[in-house]
Amino acid sequence: MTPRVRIIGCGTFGNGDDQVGLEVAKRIRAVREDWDVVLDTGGGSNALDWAEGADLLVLVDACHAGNGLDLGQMLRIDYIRHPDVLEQCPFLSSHAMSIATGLKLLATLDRLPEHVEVYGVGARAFDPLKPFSPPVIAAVPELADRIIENVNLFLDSSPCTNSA
Amino acid sequence: MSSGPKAQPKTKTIHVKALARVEGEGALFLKTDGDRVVDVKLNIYEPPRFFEAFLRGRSYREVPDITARICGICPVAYQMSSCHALEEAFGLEVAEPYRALRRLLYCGEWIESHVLHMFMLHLPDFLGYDSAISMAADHQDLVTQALQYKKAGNDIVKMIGGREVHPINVRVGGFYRLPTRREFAPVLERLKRIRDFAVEACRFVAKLDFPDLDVDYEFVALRHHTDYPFNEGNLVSNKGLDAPIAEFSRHFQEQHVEHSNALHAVRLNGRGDYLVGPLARINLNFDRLPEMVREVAKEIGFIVPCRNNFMSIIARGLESLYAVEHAIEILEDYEQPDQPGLDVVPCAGVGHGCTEAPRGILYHTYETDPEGLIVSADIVPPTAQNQRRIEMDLTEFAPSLLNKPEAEMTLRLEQLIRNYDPCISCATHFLKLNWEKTP
Repeated sequence: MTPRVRIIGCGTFGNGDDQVGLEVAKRIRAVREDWDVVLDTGGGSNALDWAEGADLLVLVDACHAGNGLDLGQMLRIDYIRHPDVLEQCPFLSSHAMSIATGLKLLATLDRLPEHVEVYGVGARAFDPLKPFSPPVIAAVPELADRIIENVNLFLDSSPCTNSA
Repeated sequence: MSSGPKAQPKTKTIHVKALARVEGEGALFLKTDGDRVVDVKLNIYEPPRFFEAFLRGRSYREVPDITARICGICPVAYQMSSCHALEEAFGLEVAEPYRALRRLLYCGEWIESHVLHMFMLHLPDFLGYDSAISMAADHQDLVTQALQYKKAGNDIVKMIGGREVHPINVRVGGFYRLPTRREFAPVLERLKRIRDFAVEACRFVAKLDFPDLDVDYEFVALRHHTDYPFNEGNLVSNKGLDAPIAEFSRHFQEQHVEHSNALHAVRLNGRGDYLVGPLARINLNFDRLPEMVREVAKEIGFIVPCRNNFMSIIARGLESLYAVEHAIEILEDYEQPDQPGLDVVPCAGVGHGCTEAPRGILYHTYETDPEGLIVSADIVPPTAQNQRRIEMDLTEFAPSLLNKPEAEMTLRLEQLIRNYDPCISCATHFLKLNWEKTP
């Protein structure tokens, strides 16, 4: 059976680097029009929709740079194996409910997909109506390519598929 | 949290450093002496001052989108108040069908905001959990349905506003684009699916164990001549206020207080604090609710006037139910207009807008130049209006808790603050609460 992959770009349009998850998702969608890619500005309260029918859930969001994470650098977390790591990450949440809360709710409700990967992108400028930090926007194409590559590896490793 | 010496305290000061489940950041300081509260300071940080300055010199076209950025949980309210104010400045009246669509958008925001607060932020207090997540472990079906309920609100805002947070489809005079009836169909279907749960939610919250609180509030809300208020109406109170919104500044004033960056709004002429939000709204407009919602209120034993703000969770439940019913009604009658909005001719003028944000009245006033550039702006958000009332509630409620263990007292005080669903800012969830005890 073909594993179903859903990619969610999170963030707030217009809020500087907080848009990076959305930009990465847009880039992925432009490259892979056949994939299920969602731009989500509603935050963790949409978690039920994220998970519905997905075997691999990929979330991309901004997180505060620092502690070794540079601007535009990407952190990859296997949420199923290391759920606690997300709680320690300084993810930005200008949403009513963060993605960490959304994922914890999914876990509590026994609705987590079998595979969940969270990509945090090092970011700094989160204020409304602010532009991207140059290193963050410059990194978007490469970040999108890396996620596509990782998803393809996942799909290739599954028995009978080559599509998301 | 820190406390004073271990000997029997006479005077106490509480410092609770992190009150979760509120929107934004701030701090609370509480000092008691014996069975008296001698000092309460709610210190919060509000962004609207910055935005008012930021608006000067900007085009009227930008105002709805800029002001929407003030809040991530009630952006529609900022858009509606700004549009109404600017339309008044330009002498433009926006009637049907755009009026109904604006009410529809507001229904979405009320559902989003109220349901999030009821189930994720406030309900854990009543059921004895420290968070929605721990509550979800024992109430899986309830939380799952609540998330679907909230999503129904998200869908409305996304469909007509262009996206779920900080919508971009609102403009002075109407909208930029309006969905087709077919595009609205899935939204309508989801609303119909959630209808029964919306009623069940009212029944559920009505059975909660509410702390005793009976306060002679001055409730302030809008009141419209036919409808439950969203975008229009006079400013009314249960203590004699009945004035057009253009007279807002004759009846209310923002004041600086030393301990907070946010301004406190008060009634003028020595009237002091007042309460805005769902409890005020429903007390002053119960007769404007449709019969179906009033019947549910009757069934669950919710009687107006209600003076216990812990029961604001019931008011939110009933208002959410109203929003579901009203949205269904609007969508069932929906026909896509020929134009998404009215033409706007800017001019020099002054306009006032006041609409019912989920947390209460949100007042905007603008002065424009002949090209429609903003000369001055003033924004009074609901949490600033409730801020003094929160401190008064704490002052009145805290003495009943002084014999409780400190942890329980702190929890109850936090719960009381959450009665107001304070939208301190949309960026983080953090409020420091301090209780000082001195022997």
